[in-house]
Amino acid sequence: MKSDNKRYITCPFCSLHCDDIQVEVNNNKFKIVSENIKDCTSKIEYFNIKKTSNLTAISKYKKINFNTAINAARKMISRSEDITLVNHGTDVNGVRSLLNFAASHNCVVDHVNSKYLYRNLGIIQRKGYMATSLTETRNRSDVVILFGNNILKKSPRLIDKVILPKHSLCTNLKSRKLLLVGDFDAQSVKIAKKNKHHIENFKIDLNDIPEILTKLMSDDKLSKNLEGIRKIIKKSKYLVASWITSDFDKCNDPDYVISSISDFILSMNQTSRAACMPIAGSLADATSSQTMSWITGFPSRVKFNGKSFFHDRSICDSQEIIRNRNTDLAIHISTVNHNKVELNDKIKNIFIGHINSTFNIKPDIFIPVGNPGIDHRGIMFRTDNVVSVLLDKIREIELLSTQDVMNMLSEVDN
Amino acid sequence: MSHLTLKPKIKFKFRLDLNSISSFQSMSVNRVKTLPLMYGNKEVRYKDLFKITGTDSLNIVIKSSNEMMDNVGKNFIRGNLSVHGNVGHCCGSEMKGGKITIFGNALNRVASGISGGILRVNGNCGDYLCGKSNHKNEGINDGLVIITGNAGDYAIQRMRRGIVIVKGNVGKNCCTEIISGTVIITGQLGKNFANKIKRGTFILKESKFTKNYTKSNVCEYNFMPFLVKHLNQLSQDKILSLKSFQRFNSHKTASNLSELFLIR
Amino acid sequence: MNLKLQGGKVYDPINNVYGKRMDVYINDGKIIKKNKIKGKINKIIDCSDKIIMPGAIDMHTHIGGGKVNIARMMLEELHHDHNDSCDSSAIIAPTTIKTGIKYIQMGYTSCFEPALLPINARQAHSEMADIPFVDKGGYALLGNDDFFLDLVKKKASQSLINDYVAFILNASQCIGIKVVNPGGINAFKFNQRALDVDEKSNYYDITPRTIIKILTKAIYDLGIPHPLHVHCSNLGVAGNYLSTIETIKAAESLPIHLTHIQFQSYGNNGDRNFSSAAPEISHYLNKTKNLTCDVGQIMFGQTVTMSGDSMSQHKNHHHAHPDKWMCMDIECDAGCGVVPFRYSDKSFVNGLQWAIGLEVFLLAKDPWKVFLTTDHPNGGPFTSYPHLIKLLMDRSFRNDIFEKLPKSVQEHSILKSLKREFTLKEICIMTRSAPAKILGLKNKGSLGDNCDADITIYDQNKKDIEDFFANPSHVIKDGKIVVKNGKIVNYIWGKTQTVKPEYDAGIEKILGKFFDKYHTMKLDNFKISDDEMTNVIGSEIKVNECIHKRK
Repeated sequence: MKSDNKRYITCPFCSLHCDDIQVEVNNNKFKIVSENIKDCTSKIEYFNIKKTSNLTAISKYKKINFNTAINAARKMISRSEDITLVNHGTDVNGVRSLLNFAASHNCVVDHVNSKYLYRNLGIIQRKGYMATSLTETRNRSDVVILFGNNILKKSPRLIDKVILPKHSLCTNLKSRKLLLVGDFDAQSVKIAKKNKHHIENFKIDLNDIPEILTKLMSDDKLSKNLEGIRKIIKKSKYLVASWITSDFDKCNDPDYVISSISDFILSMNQTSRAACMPIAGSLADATSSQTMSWITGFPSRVKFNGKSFFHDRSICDSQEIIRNRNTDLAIHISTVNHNKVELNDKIKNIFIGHINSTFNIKPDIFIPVGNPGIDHRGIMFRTDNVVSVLLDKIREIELLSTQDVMNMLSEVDN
Repeated sequence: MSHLTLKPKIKFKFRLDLNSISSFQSMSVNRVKTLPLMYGNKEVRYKDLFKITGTDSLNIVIKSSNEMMDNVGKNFIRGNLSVHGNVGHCCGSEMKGGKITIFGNALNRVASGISGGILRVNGNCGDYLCGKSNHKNEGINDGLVIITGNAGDYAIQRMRRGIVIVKGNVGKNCCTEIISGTVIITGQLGKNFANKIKRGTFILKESKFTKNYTKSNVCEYNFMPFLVKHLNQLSQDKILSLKSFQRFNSHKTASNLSELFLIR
Repeated sequence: MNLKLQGGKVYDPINNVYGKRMDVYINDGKIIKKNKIKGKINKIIDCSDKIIMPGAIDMHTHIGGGKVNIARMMLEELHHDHNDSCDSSAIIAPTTIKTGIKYIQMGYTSCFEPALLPINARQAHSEMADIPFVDKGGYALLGNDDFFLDLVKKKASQSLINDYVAFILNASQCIGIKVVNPGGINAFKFNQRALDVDEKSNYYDITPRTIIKILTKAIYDLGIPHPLHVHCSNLGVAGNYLSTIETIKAAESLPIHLTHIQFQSYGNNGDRNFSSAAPEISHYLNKTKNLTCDVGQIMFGQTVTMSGDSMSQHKNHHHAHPDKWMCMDIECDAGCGVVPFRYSDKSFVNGLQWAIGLEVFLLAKDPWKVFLTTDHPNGGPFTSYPHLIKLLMDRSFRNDIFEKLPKSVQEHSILKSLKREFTLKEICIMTRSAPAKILGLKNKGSLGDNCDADITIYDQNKKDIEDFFANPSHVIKDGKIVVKNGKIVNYIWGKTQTVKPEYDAGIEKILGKFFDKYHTMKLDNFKISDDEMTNVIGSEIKVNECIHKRK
C-alpha cells in the first residue's frame, strides 16, 4: 500500500462507475477523501466492516466455517431438482462463473433488473436507435433533455461529470441548455441548478411525454411554454435525451413512452444530430447483459437445457419462478447491492453476498464474498455499454471472489 | 386412428417447455415417447412425464393440463391441438396455421406474434394477448384468436392483420397502436383503450369509446351479415348474432382512420 | 510429447514447398526438424492420403467488441438454430463459443478483429478471451478520435503522433492500427453526412488524405509489421473507386492495406449508375508496390452489417432487413453502426456486388497481395469460406451461379470472361502465409522449424472442394489435436497477439491531462496492462516484434 494511504478507486456502486474518487485506506477501513460527493460517500463507505458485518459463513442463525458452508451448499445443490440463479450485481468474471455453473447444472440465470433492461432493449430489437455515450455527451452536446423524475438522484454525479462539467471539448458550456421534462421535485431541480447553467424545468405528467414530443416535432401552434422548448430543440446541433427506465414504472405503458423518446431522436437526426443515452440501474445491469450476450447470445433470462442456452423472457423470469415456487433452490449473488434482498422462505436459499448484505429472512446458507473493486479486481460495464472499467483491490480481508466461490460450488459430483 | 393423447403422470413441480409438441406431426409415436425435454434440471423423455396413447399425430389432445406447461402450440403449423385444462405462458405464440383449442385459462402472451391459424381459449388469459413477440415490432399478423373469458392488460398491441375476439373484459392499454385488423370485444374496456391507432375495425359493446367519433347514418350495413356468418363459420360458434349495429367513423384525430360498430 | 504427421502432401509457401510428400514433427507446441527430436515419437498420424497446410488465418473478421454484442441482442429472433451441434445462436452473430468451434472445425487457427475501439478494448478482449481454440488479436481504431484530430489540427510533430500511435497499441493490446472512414465518423458527429478524400471536415478542417498520410508514416516509423488497415471513405457509394484510388495515393507509396475492397470498387456507369470498377482497382493493385487488400466478398442471404463507420451505416439504415438498426457515437473515439441486411440474388445491386468481389479476386495477379475474407459478417458469415473457395477454384460452378443472376448483372460484369481457376497453392497462400506475413506473425502461416504447430490436415479423398475445405480431418492447435473428423476432442484457449512499439512516456502526461479535462474516465483506467490481460480478462498475450526499426 502507498505510504500516504490515499489512492484513486473505481466506484462499482452506480452505473457511472466514476474512477476519480480518492479514498484513504487505513487498516482495511476506507474513507472517501474527494469532496462534493456526499451521496456517493455514504454509498461507498457502506461497504466498510461494521459490527453487523458477516465475515463468516452462516447457516440459518449459526456461524459456520467456510468449508463447512461450501460443503453444505454443494450437498443442497446436488439434492436440488431445479436451481435458479439470481444476479443482484456482480462483475464480468462473476457472470462468467454463473453461466459456467448454470451450464453444468441446467439452471435458470436472471438479473433482478431484467424488467428494465427489456424496456430499453425493446427499442433496439424493434426499431432504429441512435445512441451516445457519456464522454460524447460531455464534449459535444448543446442541449440535454432529462426525462422522468429520479435520474439526478440515482446518478448523483451525472450533472458534474457529464451534463454540466467544468470543461468541454467542442461546445461552449455557457450556452449548453438542460431541459427537465417530467415531474422533477425541488431537490432534483436544486441539483441541476448547482452549476448555474440554462435550465428549463417543464413539469408534465410522464404519460403525456409521447404526445408532447409529437407536438414539438409538428408545425402546430403551441402554448408559450412549449414554444420556447421547440425553439431550443430546433436550434440544437447535438441533442441528447436521457432517462432511467424505472422512472416510467408508474406510467400506463412504459414501453410506449420510451419508444416515443427514441422516435423523437430519430426524427431529429434527419436534419441535425441527436442521440439517446439511457442510464441503467445500479446493480451492474450492463455488466450482466453484455457478458451474457456474448456467451449465450441473449442478454438475460436464459436456461441451460442440457445442450445450449434457451431464452424466454416470461418463462425464465426468476421473480415469477420464485414467487410461484417453481424451483426448489434459489442461489442469490449480490456483491454491490445496498438494499434489502427479498427471499422466499418457501424454497431453499443460498446467498452469496458481500459482508453487509441484508435480507428479509435468513437464507439457509450465507457465504460471504468480496466486493469487486474493494476486495478483488474485476471488470464492470458502464451504463453506455461501451466503456468497461477495471476495479481495483484496496482491502485485504481474505474474502474470495464470486468467481472463486461459484467455481467451488460447480465441482459437485452428482 | 385415435387422437394422440398426452396425460400428465405426475403433478408438475417445475415449469415445462413444451414447444416440441408442434413438431409431433412429423414423428412416429415411438419417437414422440422418447423425445427429450427438460424437467427441472434433468433431461427426461415425454413418456416419463406423460401417459401417451393414440397414434394420430395430426390431432393431439392434452388432458388434465396445468399452468406449468409453457409454449404449448408455439410455432404450430397444421393439425388440431386441444388442451383440457390450464396452460402456461406463450401458448400458441408465433403460430402459423392449424387449430388450437384450450379448455381452461392461459397465462401471459397468448398468441404473441401469431401469423395464421385459429386459436381459441375457452377461459381467461393473462397480459399481452396477441402482443408483440420478443423481436418484432408488430403484434398479431394474421389468424383468428377467440378468448371466451377476460383478457389482461396490454392486449392486442400493434395488431396488423387478423381477427381477435374477446367475449369478456379487457384490461388497460388494450389495442394501442393498432395498424389494422378487426377487434371484437363484447365485455368492458379498460383504461387507455385504442390509443394511437391508424386503421382497424372495432366491434364493441361498451359505448364510452364512441364519443370521439362521428355517428354515421342508420342504414343497413350489407356486409355485416357476411361478417357474422363468416365468423360463426370459422369459429363454429355463435359469436355474434345479427343484431343491429351502429356505425361510427371519422375519429377526431386526423391520422386515426378506424371505424367502430356499436352492438345495440 | 512428440507427434509425427507421416507422409502427407505438404503445402508450405513460406518455405516454397508445394505438394511435396514429407513428414512433419511436432514437439511441445512447435514444429521441429527431425534431427532435433529427443526421445521417442509418442503418436503418429498417418497422412498418406492427406494434405497438410498451416492453420488458416482470418485477418479481418468481426468477432468481438460492442457492436457484435449489439447485433446479438438485436437479432434475438435469429438465434433459433436448434439443429446445430453447439448452440442456437445465429451464425451471423454467433456466441463466442460458437465462433471458436466453427472456426477451428474449418481449420482456422487465428482470427483478427479489425475494429477494436481503444476505449472499448477491455470489452473486446474480454469477449475474445471467451473464444476457445483460436489465437486472436485486434486492430485499434484511430483517425476519428478527437485527441488525434486535435494534434493534427495543431500541426503536432510526426514524432509526437508516433508516440500516440505506439501508446494506443500498448494501451489497447492490439496488433495493428485501423482507420475507418478517416475523419468521417468524427465529421458525422458534427452533422456532416459525407466526406471525400480531399474534402475538409467542418470542425477540424482536416482531409482524410492528411490522416492517412500521417498514420501510414507513423506506422512505418514505428516499424509495426502490419501496414495501416484502411476502410476508405465513401464505402458502398456508387463511383467510389475514385476515392479508393485517391486513398492509395495518399499513402505516398508507404505500405497500406485496404480492407473489404469489394465495397470500394464501384463505378457509376451504365443505365443504373452502378457498375463494376474491379478492373481499374485491380490494375492499381497489381502495379502498386506495398499495397495489399482483402476482398470482403458478399454471399447471398441474411446477414448483419456492423461497422465503425456510423456515417455510412446511418445513410444505409433505410435498407435494414429486418427493419431495425442502431448507430452510436462513442466516447470521442469513434462510432459504430449495426444494420441487418439481406443480400438478394434477385437484386441488380447485390448481384453485381457478388460479381465485383469475384472479379477482384480473379484479376489480382499476386496471391500474396489479396486475402480471402467476407468481412464477417458484413458480406456473409465466415462459415461460407469453403463455398467462396469453391467459387474461385471451380469455373463452371461459378458460372452456373452467375447465370442464375438477373440478366442486367450479367450484362454489367466481365466475370464470365475470366477463365482463371485458383490452385491449391494460391488458396494456401491467400489464407495462410500471406496474412501471417502481412501481420508480422513470424511463427505462423508456415510449417518451418520452430513455428507454432497450428496445422490443418485435409482429406484428399473429399472430391468436392467445398466439402474438402469445410471438413478437415484433423486440426492441430499449439501441438494439440483439437479436431478429429469434425469432432472437437480437446478444449484449449489461444493467445492474444499484440505488438508493443516503444514510445516516449511524455505522451502519457499530455494524454493524462486531456483525459482529466475532457473524458469521463482516467487514463490509468484506459490502459490495459499485461497483468490485467492474463489475470482479469483471462487471455495470455504474445508480443510480436516490431521487426524493422526504420526511424
